[in-house]
Amino acid sequence: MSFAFRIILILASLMTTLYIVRKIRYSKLQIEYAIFWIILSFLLILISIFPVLVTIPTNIIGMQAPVNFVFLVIIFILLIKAFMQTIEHSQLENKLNDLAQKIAIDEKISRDRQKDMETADSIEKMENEGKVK
Amino acid sequence: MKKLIIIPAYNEEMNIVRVVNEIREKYSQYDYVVVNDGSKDNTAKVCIDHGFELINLPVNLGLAGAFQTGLKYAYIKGYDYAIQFDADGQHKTEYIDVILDEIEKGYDIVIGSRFVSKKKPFSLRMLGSNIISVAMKITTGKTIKDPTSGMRMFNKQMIEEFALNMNYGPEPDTISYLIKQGATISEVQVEMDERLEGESYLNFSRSMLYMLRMLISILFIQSFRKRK
Repeated sequence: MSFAFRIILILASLMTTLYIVRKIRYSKLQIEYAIFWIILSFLLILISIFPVLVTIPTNIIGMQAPVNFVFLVIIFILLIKAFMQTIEHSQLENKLNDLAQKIAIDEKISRDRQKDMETADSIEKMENEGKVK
Repeated sequence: MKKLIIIPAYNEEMNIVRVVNEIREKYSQYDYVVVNDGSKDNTAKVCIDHGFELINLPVNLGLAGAFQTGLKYAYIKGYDYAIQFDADGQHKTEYIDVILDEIEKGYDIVIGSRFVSKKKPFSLRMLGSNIISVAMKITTGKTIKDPTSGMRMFNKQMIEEFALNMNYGPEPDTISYLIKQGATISEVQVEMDERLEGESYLNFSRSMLYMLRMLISILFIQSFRKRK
């Protein structure tokens, strides 16, 4: 790996971390979700500063180039993350459905109740008028 | 002074009646509200049948969301103090007054702590509690002896702040953040019971995840969070 390329990698991972930290600073995301990104960005910095962290496992597994190992691992992490987000997404949609249905049904019930009360009122009124006459 | 006891409840049909009845009988000077966090059991029905004050969440929000619901209610109704009180019977009602006395001295948050004058027993759970204490000591310079205690009372300003903002879960990392922002916090000695019914939420892997979350949050994230 050339020296210039390493500098670019280190700078890029530092800027990624900085960007993530800035977003967390202004409360753009919840801490639960921030944890994953913090760990991942630290991992990026670590790998860019100490590439030997990648070359050793590459040699152990017997892969040809460290870059293949990096791609494999990162893609796998992102794949799992994407799947987990699908699960979260589904659960959110489910909750949203529950909420919308609950609001709509509650509103229908309260309208029904009001209608019942109105009919009861008018029946009472009619009866009273009947008595007067 | 208006005081509210917030009781977040998730699947607590076995415990909730005993807990709320005790509060109603002995502490009627306090208002209370049960926040049912979308329980799968009959928690809501039990509360309605007994005529308890109930906020019934239609979906499960988790403890942070449920407790925030209670604080939002406290904020809208203009309460001066609000205390979190567990529905599982671990918290003892006799300490509510002690905590109130302390917060009336002018603290923002008062924690009902198991270890002010008593020593921590040695167990895996207490090791976790110690690690969190150390992390808070490093980042804030202040010692909180029982950071994971769920029995905490908040004053009016804290009620507003917790009710309206994101990332204000009732957890040690929020406490750590607030200490850094200049909030005053005190601890008073309380005792807690073991759970009588139902299962604890934290199993081993969840506990490990919780520790990881808390440590990264306290040591790193909270140091650059901006207060609105």
